[in-house]
Amino acid sequence: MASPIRTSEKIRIPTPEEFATAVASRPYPTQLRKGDADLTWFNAKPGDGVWGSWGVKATPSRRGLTLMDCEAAEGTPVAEVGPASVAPRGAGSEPSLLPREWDINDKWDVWAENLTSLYEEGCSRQWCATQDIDWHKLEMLPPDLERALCQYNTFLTMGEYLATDVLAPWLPQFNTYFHEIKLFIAAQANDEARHTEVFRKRILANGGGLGMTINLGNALVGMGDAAQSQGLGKVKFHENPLFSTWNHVSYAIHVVFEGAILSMFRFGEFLGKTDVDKQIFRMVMQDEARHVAYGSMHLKYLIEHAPDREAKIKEIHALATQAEMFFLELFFLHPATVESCAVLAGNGVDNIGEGLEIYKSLYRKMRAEYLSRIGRAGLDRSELCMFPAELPF
Amino acid sequence: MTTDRADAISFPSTPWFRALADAASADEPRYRRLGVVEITLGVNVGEQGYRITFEDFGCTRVEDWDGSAPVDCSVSADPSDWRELIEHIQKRGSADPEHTLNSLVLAGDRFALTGDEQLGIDRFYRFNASLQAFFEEAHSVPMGQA
Ligand SMILES: [Fe+2]
Ligand SMILES: [Fe+2]
Repeated sequence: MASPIRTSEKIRIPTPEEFATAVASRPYPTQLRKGDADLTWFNAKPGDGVWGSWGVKATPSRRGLTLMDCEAAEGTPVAEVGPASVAPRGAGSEPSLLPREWDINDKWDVWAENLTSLYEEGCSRQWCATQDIDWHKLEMLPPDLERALCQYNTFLTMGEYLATDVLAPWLPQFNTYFHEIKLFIAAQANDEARHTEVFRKRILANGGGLGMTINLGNALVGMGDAAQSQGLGKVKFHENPLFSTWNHVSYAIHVVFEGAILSMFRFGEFLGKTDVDKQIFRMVMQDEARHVAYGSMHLKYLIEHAPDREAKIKEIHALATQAEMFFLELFFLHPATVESCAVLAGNGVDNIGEGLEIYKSLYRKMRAEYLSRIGRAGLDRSELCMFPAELPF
Repeated sequence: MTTDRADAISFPSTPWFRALADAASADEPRYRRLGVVEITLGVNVGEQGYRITFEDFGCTRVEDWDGSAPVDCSVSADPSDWRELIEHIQKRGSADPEHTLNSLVLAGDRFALTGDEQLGIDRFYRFNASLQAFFEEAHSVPMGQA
């Protein structure tokens, strides 16, 4: 019986000297040594396939030079389908460029009418958790309020990880032709990182500490058939039916989850007892509202442009049903979420009853805003929504 | 607080809101740091309406508003509640935790945030830090009697 081939025998790695000699004997360096530059890129005519365009002169607007300004200068409408290429939109390609198949190539699959301006808005409204929060002004809170805020922020920290972990792996699936979605999602991942950072800093800045981790992340990977057959620890996010296509991810994360988190951030601002806590929640609220704005406008674009509109609406309804059930139980009805908010809202653990009523009123607002957002996008779930009109307590 | 100072501007009035805009544009670097802001906000002080347009990095227009010109969303409250909010800002230099715009409209008992479309209302959240900063300019704009 032949002995197994070791990896080192499969491919012999040259020494640095051998590699330098091999490279030096290749056609291009040889040609250059003879004074014969290639200049394919230099001699190509604009639009001939090798070079993209020429003479484009984007003019900065009052904000600076935005992608909208660049688009206006290019004057080329975004096509419905991206090519099988790694080329940036508008670029030519070297003649030997190999095709690249992307997973997501259709405009209807990723687009939103406000996508470019939302990306620019996100860049312009960036902030820094280290310097832009007046940490030196943080004031001590009564111990039960500090504990509740630390629990609330621990839960929110997890939620931020969840958003990044679900969204970021989609980046290499978007065709580079639609750079807007790549940029927006990369920027969103950065927003979520900053949210994780700011909540962690707040937890550790005022005499409290990290609280109880809840089962949200595990439960998300645990949905669907894969979790049943492979066991919870081995399942990847994309095996969850909520996250099986970009449309599903965007609905589950941008519309349902982040819509709810936006309400939670507004509530955090409302509950904040110090200027610093108000400031933190105001900043994260802005970012979150931007993420929700993409989700809402993408849903609208999807419903209006998907090839089989009726089938897509049906599919999104089915997904929404699952997402609503999931987030209601693991989020809005989780004791650590309900009670940390209620202690803050009631101004102490002794007044939790009053706090629960305030929490319920926030929930009603969240539900109304969610239905209104998706209704505007063309998805009427007023009769189907799995978020009950009232929380059952 | 309502004052008889010579530089007081009657509240509510378009000049009073314009004075907020002037104070904001005097502090342009702060608003530039907060980032672009794109919202047309209706403000109802009892029966009086104002339409405040924010573009690029600040407020570009303040006008009387009868409710017919489009806005993204509007914030409405009785004159006494607006006065209370402004007095708090003037005493403290900034809104105290009970008197931030988001807290007041989320409580919803005295201040209401409304709009024809949720996406318009969502702009109030997207640009909230700029709007909060804008209303806090009230610390340097004395209110006179309407
Ligand atoms: Fe976030
Ligand atoms: Fe987010």
